[in-house]
Amino acid sequence: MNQKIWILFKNNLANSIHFHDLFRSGKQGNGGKITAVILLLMGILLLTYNILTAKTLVSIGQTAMIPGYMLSVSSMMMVFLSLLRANGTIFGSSDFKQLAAYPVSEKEIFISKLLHLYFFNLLIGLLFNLPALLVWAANTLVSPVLIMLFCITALASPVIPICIGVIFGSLVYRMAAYFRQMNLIAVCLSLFLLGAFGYFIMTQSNQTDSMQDIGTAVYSQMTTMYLPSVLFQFNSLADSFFILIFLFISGLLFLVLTFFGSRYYRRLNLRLLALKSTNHMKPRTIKQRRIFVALWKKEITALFSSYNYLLNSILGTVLLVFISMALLLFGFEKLTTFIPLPVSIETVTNLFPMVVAAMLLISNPAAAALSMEGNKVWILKTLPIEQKRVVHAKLACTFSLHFIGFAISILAYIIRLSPTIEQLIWAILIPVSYSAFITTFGLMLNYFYPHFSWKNDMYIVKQSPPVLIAAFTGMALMIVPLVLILFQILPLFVIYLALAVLLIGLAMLFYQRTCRIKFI
Amino acid sequence: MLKANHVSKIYEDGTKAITDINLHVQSGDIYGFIGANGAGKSTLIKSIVGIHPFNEGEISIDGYSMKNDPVLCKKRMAYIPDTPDLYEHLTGMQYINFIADIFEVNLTERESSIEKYSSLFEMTGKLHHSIASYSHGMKQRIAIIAALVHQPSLFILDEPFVGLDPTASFQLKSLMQKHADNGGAVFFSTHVLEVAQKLCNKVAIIHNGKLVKNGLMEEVAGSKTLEDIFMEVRNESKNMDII
Repeated sequence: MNQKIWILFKNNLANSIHFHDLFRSGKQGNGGKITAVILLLMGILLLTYNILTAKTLVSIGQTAMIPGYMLSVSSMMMVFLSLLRANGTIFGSSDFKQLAAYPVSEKEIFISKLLHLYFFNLLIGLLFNLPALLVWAANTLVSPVLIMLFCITALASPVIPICIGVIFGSLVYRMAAYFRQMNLIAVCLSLFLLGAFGYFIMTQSNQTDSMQDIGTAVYSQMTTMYLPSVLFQFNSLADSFFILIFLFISGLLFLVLTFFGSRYYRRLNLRLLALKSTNHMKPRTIKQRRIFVALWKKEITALFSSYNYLLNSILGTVLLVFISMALLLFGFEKLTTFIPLPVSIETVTNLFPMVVAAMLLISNPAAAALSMEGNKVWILKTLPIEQKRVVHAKLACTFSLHFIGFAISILAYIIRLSPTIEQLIWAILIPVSYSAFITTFGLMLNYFYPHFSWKNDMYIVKQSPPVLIAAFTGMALMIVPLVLILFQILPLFVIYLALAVLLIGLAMLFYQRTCRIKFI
Repeated sequence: MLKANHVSKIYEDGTKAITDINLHVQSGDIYGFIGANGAGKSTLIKSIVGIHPFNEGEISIDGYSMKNDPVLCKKRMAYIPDTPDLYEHLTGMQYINFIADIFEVNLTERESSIEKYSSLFEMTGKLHHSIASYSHGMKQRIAIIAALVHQPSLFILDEPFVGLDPTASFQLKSLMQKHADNGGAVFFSTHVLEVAQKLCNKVAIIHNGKLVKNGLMEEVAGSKTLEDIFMEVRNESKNMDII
């Protein structure tokens, strides 16, 4: 590999994964270690899940499908990941100007960025393909040539998802660049794409009751959802031909993407940069605002000024608005036809608070709000205000976001599901408790582990310790009560009451703790 | 106006940044703060304005302690950093307005300050442009206008002339002079020794985190130039290192 590409790739990786934090003492070191532990735990969970899935395929006599199935599922995960990461890594990345000044060609920069995406996709792929290989090889007599072909296919499998991510990502920015609110439009388009892709997958995953047909059904689902799956054939050595075609297509696509992409990389990034610079405002009358309003508005504008920050922050809220609007427009009966499981109106009414809470949990800009100040943090530090005012503004920003989704969902809940007073109380109390908990927890973590010296906000909003710890804790706090509810271990009101008391109590503790952490 | 008594700052890794600093900036002073790169100038300035906490000593502004009453201290001063990292997604006007909101500047006073300083620093026509489109010098000017919008009595400036064009530099120097003449005070760090010698009535030289010269300009420099004094300090230190 070209030495310059390798250096650029290593530099990019070092900026997005803070390895050095692992070896540091103090808070930063602890943050790095906690992040590593969380990532490891998530990896182990996914590995275990995939081993179980592969073993299920063995138990229903579909061992031969394991490699193809896992390659398909991992490829679809990679498409999602690439759609989320392409913008911010290749297009609209904050290091564009800096890299443009280096004695490297656009092609070298572009390839190094592709390698960056490839690295992360490969890691995801490993979590699927490693268990697949272990279970597949252990349960059937596989030729070493086929194993080798599987390994090569696994290494090449990120290429097509990256191509899809880069092409759609550039289209999103190309279209968004016509609008003044470019980031908001780009995020909406990205979410629309992800939604359309998700909906497509959901509608294609039709159920089958016949165990005899299960192999055909799985194969049909795989190929409909991800077309290149037709080439993932590992039944016998005769199938090598399909694999060779897949490798050839991947190689060709990579060459085409590199050729056109490296030309387009500079043009689109320059256009985005120019748009940012010419974003002038019409002169307006000066207004005097209260300190809280000024700080809150600053938080909101900061949220809307970053593609990565906005995309990661509003995903849950947008999903919630989308589900609520669908419920409001189509009603319960029509909506449940899209769900592949049979559900009663009573179950939905009872679980609705948890669904709303789950969406709010994944909309948590507070976990990155302090670090997002970056090198501008001196402004907050030199302002004549008490620290709690900054805390209030940052919490209010997340609460405002939650409120939009929450208000629409409650409206849809009342109109379409006609809940009892008790159900309505839970539908209000549970999301509010989760919202208070996750917002205060995320902000407190960010005050514990702030990170101001970043070049690209991708690390801060996706991989920083506060974001990961908050997400992981939120997930755990969602799974435990759901298990208790679904297995009817305790009466519903007991679970909800205990949850509300616990979460609000914790939120109060976290709020007080955050206000005491010396920052200003 | 600004008093620093026995201020010391040690970083987390044990590095002593500044040791036992004593300063007294009085009303009417233009106090120059000089030192080589890494000598501790920015550390002291950041401790004064509340960016860095300090380990020992006391900093007070108009009698208020920076440790106990940071809000009251910050209300009395304006800080302009060496690198103007501002909120790039805002326009110049939005940024100034944000600062004015936080300092609770009333509308009349705000409008007159913005008009006065934006005209002085030739930014009137660019106030509604995005900060991302500004050059380094323009960002520096916006930082200055925003810092002055609440009419502070004490200016704290870290390398204020870096990036400013000759006109803006001249305007800033005149402003500093006028401010001191009207009873305010200015404390600023600089590498431009000629400017410091011309503009300041007091000067402090910091070396390896310690103040080695401090006092009235004529007492510190005497008949020599500030550059000569600075080089003497450097050479003395080098000789000490050799011994």
